[in-house]
Amino acid sequence: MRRPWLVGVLAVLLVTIGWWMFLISPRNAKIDDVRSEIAIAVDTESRLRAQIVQLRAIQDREVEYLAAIGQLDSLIPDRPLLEEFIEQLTVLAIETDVELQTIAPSLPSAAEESDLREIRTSIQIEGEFFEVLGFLFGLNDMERLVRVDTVALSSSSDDLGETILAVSLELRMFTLADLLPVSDDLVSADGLGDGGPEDGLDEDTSDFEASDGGTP
Amino acid sequence: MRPINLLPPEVARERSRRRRVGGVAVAAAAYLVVLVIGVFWWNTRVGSAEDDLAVQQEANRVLEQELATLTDSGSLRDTYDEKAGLVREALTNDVDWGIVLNDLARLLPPRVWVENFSGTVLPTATPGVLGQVTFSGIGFDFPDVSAWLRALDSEQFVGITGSWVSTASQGSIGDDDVVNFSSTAVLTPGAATARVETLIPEVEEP
Repeated sequence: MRRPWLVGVLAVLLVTIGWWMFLISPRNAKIDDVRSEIAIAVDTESRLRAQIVQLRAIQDREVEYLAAIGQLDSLIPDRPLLEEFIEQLTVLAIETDVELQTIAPSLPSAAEESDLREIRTSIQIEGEFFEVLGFLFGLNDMERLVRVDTVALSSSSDDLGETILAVSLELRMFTLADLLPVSDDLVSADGLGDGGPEDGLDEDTSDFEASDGGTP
Repeated sequence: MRPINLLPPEVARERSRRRRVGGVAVAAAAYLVVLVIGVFWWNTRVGSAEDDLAVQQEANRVLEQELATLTDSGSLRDTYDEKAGLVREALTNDVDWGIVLNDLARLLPPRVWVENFSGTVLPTATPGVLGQVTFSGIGFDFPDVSAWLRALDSEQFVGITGSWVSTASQGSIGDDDVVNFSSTAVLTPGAATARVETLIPEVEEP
């Protein structure tokens, strides 16, 4: 008498398990997948909103950014602008009352692992101590970024007994472009690179004698 | 009064069996209906979740379109960051020679003077060392050389440390006895400029 009931209960159990496994579980999995996608999409929304807020703030300060980029361009110009540098150096020498004797800039050469091109420049000046100091401070304050890597000075006395310093400076200024456009054909045919040390381009150094009668 | 059934007992058993079978069939049908309703309800949940996802994706699409209109602002910031990074790179280990020489003149002992000075920034970064300086100078006596070393190592001379005298030899200038000496020292980060802070124009971070 009890056997049919047991069979019935077992059948109900089996059908219920089958229903859950083959009909409901896939739907639950699908719901989980969709919820995961929603969570990712919500995160994306937060990120997008944050980016928009940030970019709107930049947009609001566009003028400030453009001015700042202009100043940074003045510090490291896109082109070597050697002519402007020589003029600025001459003006600085006149203002600080030192005698500018030699300017010897090398060709722009690529800095290691950088977009910068360095223009190494040797200059020689002569003047009294505080004038030389003024010249060094003036270099730091130039519109263009100039850094002094080496300073060598020796003292001597002039005819009036004043102490005069003969100063040699090794400077570096920077630009972002080579002096000449380097095409791929040139690189492969002539071995010319981007003005780096391996090119031999930076071996060339041009000297300029100051026009105000300075002697090296 | 007791009911009297004149039908044979097989008929009663057959009726009872039919009632049981009918009850089981109705229960099975109800059970199947519950299962089908369950499937529909789960389908509704899936559909609702997919609708939520579609709404969220649409919101994101609108935001992405808005973001696309602001790419110029993003590139403006990138350009600024890139150029500021180049200035920082260019000013790595930048020494303020004006300050170094000014301090040297300020702290020079009274009976010592420097004839030659040279200083170089080291191309490879050594922690705590920016460069090296060498001097050749003159004092009136050997204790003046000691005074020179003390001056270089004094706390007031923040940009120089590790001073050393490699030679100190007696000589003369005219009739006066003097001591010629050669000296070296290293430049510390105290000799570095603060030009990174002053040259890079600040724009308030968004």
